[in-house]
Amino acid sequence: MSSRWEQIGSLFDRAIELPEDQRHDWLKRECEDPSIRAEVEQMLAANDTGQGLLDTPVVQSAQAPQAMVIPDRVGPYQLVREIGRGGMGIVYHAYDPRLGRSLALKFLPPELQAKPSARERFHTEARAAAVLDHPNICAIYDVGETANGLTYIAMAYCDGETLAQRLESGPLPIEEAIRVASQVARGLACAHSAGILHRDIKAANIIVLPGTDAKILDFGIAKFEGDVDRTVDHGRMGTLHYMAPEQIRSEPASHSTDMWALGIVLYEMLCGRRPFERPNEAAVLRAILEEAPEPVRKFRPEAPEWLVSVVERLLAKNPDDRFTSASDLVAALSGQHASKVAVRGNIQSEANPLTLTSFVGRERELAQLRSVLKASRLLTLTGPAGTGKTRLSIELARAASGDFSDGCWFVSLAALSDPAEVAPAIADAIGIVVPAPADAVRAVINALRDKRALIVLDNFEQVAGAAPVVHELISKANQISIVVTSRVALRVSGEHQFPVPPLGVPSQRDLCNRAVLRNCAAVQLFVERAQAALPSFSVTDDNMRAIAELCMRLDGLPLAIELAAARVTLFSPEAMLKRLSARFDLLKGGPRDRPARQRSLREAISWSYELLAPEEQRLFRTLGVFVNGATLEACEAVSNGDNLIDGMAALVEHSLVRQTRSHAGEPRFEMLESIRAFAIEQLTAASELENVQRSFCEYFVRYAETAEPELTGPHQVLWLDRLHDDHENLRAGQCWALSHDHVMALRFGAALWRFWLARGHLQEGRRDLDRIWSAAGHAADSKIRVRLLNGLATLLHSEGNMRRARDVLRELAELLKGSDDLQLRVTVLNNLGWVEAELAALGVSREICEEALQLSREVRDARATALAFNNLGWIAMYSGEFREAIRLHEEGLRLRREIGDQRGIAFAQTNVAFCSLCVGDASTCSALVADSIRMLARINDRLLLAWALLVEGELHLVRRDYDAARFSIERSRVLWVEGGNRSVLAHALATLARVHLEQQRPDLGEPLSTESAAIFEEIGGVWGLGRALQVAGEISAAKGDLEAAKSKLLKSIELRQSIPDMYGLTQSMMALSRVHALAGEDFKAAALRHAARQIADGQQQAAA
Amino acid sequence: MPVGPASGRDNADVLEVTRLLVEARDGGRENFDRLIGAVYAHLRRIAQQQLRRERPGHTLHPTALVHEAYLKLSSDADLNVNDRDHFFAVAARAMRQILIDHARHRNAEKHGGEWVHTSFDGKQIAAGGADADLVALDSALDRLGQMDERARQIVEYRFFVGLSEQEIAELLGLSERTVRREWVKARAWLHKEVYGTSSEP
Repeated sequence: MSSRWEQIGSLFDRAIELPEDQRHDWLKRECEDPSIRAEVEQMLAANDTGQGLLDTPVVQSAQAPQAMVIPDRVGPYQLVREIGRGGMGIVYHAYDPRLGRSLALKFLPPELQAKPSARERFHTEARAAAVLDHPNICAIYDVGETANGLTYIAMAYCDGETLAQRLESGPLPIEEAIRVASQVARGLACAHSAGILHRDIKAANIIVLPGTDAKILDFGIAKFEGDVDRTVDHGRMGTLHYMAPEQIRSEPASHSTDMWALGIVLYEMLCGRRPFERPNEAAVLRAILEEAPEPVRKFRPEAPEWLVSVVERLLAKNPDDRFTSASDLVAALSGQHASKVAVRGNIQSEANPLTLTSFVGRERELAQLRSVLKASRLLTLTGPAGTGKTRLSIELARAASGDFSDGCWFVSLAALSDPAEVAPAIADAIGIVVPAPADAVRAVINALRDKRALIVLDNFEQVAGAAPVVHELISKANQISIVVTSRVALRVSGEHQFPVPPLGVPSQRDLCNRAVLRNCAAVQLFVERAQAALPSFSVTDDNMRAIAELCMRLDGLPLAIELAAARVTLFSPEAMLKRLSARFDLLKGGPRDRPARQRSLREAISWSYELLAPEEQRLFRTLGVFVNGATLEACEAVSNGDNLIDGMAALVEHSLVRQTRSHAGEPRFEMLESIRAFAIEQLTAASELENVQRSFCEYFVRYAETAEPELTGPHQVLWLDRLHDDHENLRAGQCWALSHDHVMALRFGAALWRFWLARGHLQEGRRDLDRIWSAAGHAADSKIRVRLLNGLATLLHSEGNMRRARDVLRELAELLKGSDDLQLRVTVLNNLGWVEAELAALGVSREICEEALQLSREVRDARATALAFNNLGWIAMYSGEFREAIRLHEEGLRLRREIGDQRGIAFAQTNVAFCSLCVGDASTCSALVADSIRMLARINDRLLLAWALLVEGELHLVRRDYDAARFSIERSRVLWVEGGNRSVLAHALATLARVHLEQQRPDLGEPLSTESAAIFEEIGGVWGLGRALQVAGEISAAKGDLEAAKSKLLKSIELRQSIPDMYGLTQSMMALSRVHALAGEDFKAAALRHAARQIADGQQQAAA
Repeated sequence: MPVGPASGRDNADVLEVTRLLVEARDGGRENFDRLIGAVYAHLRRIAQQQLRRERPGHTLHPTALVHEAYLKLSSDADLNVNDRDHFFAVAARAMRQILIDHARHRNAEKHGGEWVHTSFDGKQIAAGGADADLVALDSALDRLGQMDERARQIVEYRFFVGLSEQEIAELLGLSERTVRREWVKARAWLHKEVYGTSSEP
């Protein structure tokens, strides 16, 4: 420091202590150097001027002067800095070195710490909020007290800006406003269902994280519903602008109070201002109580109408007029929102065959049904064939889709005849895998529980026996709604039956009133369809009357009207009327065994049919054999005629056949059920049924056999989709074959099992193969039989029935010994090796797999070689030799890439990912597993997707990202609970249990680990059992039951030694050592630790 | 809650800073310069992300920034108390450089932009012509530093990072009273330098 500056400083320090008027003289006395004196004078002047640059710090400091008064460490946490304060607390940013994570600590402010009531409220807040675990709620971790008696809550640190900060720069884009509102509503729904109100929803209490979830902060004045109201002045607790009318009136708050506040927030996000901004407090309160907010559109003209009405409904003065639940709001927001972006469910699908034409004359029914659907969750549309039930149900689902945030699904039951098939059909439509039809109901309920979904069951009449299933669904999945179309009602409780009336037809006396006729729905439909068939068709005074009469004759049945209208290319309406009238008159004398309307429809179809050329008639009849439509190629093969294209065009033109598009993206042709029934009738009458059915089956068995080798090649997705499109036809074909042609049945089974495997029809497939085997096993040559048995074994294994799978495979291997079909031997050896490995017979398995490897190379079957590598890789994994496993899986991966087997690539990658994780290479794991998940999701292979998700979960677990881990594993678990290999389900449960354990929630983990162990025990999964028991043991220890912990861990050690799974063994030993340490048995603990280390070192050396 | 760094997860930066911090324990001018460079790069990246993201009327939060940066470093590396003091000194210097560069840049562009100053009670005060003043302040601070290194450090901590007097006292091993006194003095001198106050004797 320079001496001059030192002098200046010292003078300044002293001068500033003096009264201003004395400083000058004092300085003159003290300092002789005028330049120094001048400088000090200037500094004093600058100091007195006050406001200068340095007085307005360049920073915003949220730190109040007492920021660091609270100690640096609180419990396990290091305090970083104060980040905010409010009436009920001071919040600090803190850091938890144990978990390496940031968090927020909220302290009761010192002035309130002394008050018992405030303290109690603080605890209440913690108790209330700690039960909430939701992505849109800022999580509470912990409640505690510091050494000096300060109470604090530890909660997630949300690194983002508050919505209030965000809104400073103006309103949000509409999509984003919807997104934020919907997420806040989700959070509220969770809280409300736990009985907790927030009561202080405002923009400053919502954190918006860029690109991800919005989070509700600070359930600061939350209280338990029904609890004594501890927040006495509750009327004033919400921030003024967000207060609901009932809060101002000091009435009790309810869910609707939070809805109101969210309404204000939503308004604010859309308009950039709050709805009740007034110059003073009194005016704000009055406005909230009495005035309507200015319309959203005034500030946001482009806001969609539905959104405006959502805001209006949220800001209804009367709480009862608002949304009754946050879930309803979520549905309203996300449903509407989704309809613009992506719709869940298949209802909007372009492939839906029945909606290619416009929808005429049902506005009234639609409006009526929408309101029925709000009140009743099971709605049956009844009516005779051809009244348009199906179409109405689809339009209803579309119109109501906004109310069903989790999707609307259309399930056609037309092709089914067995009531037991209904639940599997629903499962299939909503996209879950169900191995056993018997489990389907449970699986569907699991999948739909708590879901706001709408299921349309179309053509229920022929599976009416399934009414109890529908009833069970509706009562157990208590958020879903079901719309059924059926000729008869279900007659179950809670059903609302709605007889679909035919279209309005004119009465006799209106026949001369053109205005009435023109507005009549049936006439409108006729005209519209007629114009579609013949664009030049127009309504004149002359033909109007004929059209109206025609509609009357056809009883206003839409299907019949449509069939007739398609014929305007041949007949004028007048001529048509004449011909049809003649027929009906004829019929009047006939037996009245059918209701009149059904006769009308039948006559319309039959009339339309008779107008076809003979060749077209033959084609029409033949097409009736297809259960769920067919591709052009299939039509051609089965009909076996010329001029197919012309014929199909004629049938489509006459509305007898509809053209759609399949999953595989190819054109398909389908018939409405009532038309198809007529076609079959004609087929029978022409004595052609037997022949047509045979050629139908022959076509499909060849088709399945063509598909079979493709299912493991580069086009597997396309072929799987194709088989899926024709699944009903294939089922029908196989079923016919079983009773007519055993060889053909065997061929079906041998060709289809891989499709069943890939698309998760495990138990259905296994059951069919068993049935075929017992009925027809003797019939075919050995090659097909062996292939069938091999498929059976694979399905058995995938179901988790490993012991039976092993028996079948051993029998097969025996059969094949000495066979010259090396290819097949390799396949069987591979499968047997795999199953033996699963059953932990690693020595036997390795021998078999090595034989398979050698044989596969001899026959140059790259796929089989890849499989052998896969199996050897798994054996290495089971033995804990992860580096060796990586090498083997990478060999396999290379081959899979050469073949282009997507599924195989993804599988091998996932395995390498898992092994990488086990040797501590999380980044390789991360990259591989992410890529595999993408691939598997694209292929739609749920079995492997579940495995990949499980590996992803393990990865998150290693990284201590518990929420992400839980999310991945839950996704995996859902896929597995619904179907497939129970062994991976058990793995998922064990991993989930570990997540809970690491999050210090052993109580939640315990049942999961127990279930996991039970499954492994049942299926003989020794490796997994060792793992599950380790988790179970650690959980027992965490719960303080050291004896149980010891016995579980000992059993786990025993199992792992028997395999031997060296890696797992050391893990279990270390865990047991920790338990001994807890029990104070230091010597045992140390000995175990030492032994485990020795084993691990030995392993490492062996690997090197 | 204040805005933290949006994506300060720039591991390369962090690793480099950590390595240099640990090396700088042994002193050495060269290490120290490189350390400033690395901290500067790290903070600037985060600061720029914030400046880009934020609209007019929003302030940068250097306090949060520096704390976050420290937090990240301390969780990634085994840093001791000395490292902490060291880090804050370096970070304050870096922060000053960032803010001044920004002011200089805007001043040059004559966008009419200005730092929005924020007082302790959170009210924002628009300070006219503040950019030019900041540039003047920067060179005055250099001159002050030549006479009194500790005073410069206090100004950097207080003005550019926004640390409280207590925190500064802790970091520099001084009493709060001393920090307060030194601050008043330095502020008076700097004001005099920047505004060229000529008071009549």
